[in-house]
Amino acid sequence: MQYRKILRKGDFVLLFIFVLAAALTAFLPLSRPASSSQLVRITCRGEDYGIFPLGEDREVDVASGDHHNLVSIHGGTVHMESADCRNQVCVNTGTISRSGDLIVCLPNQVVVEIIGEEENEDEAIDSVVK
Amino acid sequence: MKPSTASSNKDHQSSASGSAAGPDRSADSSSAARRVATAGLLASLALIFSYVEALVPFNAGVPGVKLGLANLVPLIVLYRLDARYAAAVNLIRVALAGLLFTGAFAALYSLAGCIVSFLVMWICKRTSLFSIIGVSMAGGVFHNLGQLCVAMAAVSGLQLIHYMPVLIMSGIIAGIIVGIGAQILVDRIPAKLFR
Repeated sequence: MQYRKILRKGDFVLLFIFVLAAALTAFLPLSRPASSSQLVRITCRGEDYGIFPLGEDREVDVASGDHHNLVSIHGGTVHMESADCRNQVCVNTGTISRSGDLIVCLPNQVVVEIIGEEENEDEAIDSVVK
Repeated sequence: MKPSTASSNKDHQSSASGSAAGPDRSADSSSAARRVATAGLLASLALIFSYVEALVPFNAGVPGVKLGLANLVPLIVLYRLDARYAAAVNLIRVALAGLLFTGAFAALYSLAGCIVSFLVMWICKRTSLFSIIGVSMAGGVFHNLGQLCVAMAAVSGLQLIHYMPVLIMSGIIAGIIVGIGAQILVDRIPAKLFR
């Protein structure tokens, strides 16, 4: 089979256009992973303490009065590193990484919440169609 | 002698024309049945390809990535018969395969993909700028894009556009493979099968 005779110029133009379209959609700003647009909102005693991007690693010391909560944002996940509260429920909550997930420290009245875009589809299933 | 030869000649002529008219007329009267039979045969062939594809466990990790073996039949029909047969084969195949193998809801995705890809292939073929491999490639890509559009409408998520590069590339690859197969088959299948 001689594909050189079969293939036409249009085929290669078409292939080029499709590959270009794939590349363009791959590098669209829209197609960045959703996790980079997610935010971590920290609330202390009902007031906003700060909003931080989930994508950037950092430690946030939430201080109010004598109380301290150390929030750690690392690798797209959030956990309560340490807290000086009685029950340590917040520390034992572990790590959160999805929109809407919460870490709550009731004694110190600290709420850590992930807000923003929907979850990254690499980690979560949007819907299953059978 | 003369009149007899003339009459025999005439007889011969009339019988010849009669025998020529016979098959014509019967083809006319049975052409509807013939079309139904041909389309049904081809649709069942396409359905078997769908079945073979459903049998082979192949998961690329991304939903919607598959070879699209069943597109071989409409593609060959498009080249050897005409667009009406190809459209009929496509629609019957999708409806049956949807009910039998994947479920009615997934059949909606297939249907959208098939309609879009068929229209694109038909247009591409009519421009005669592309070989059968190019036509098949366009069909593969637009099949995936049609499905993606339905999926985006169904879950109303623009986020699904992240799948687009993967789906375009898989459409290109699957389309080229199927197109090469179709090229070989169009060359090898005797033309009188389609008459």
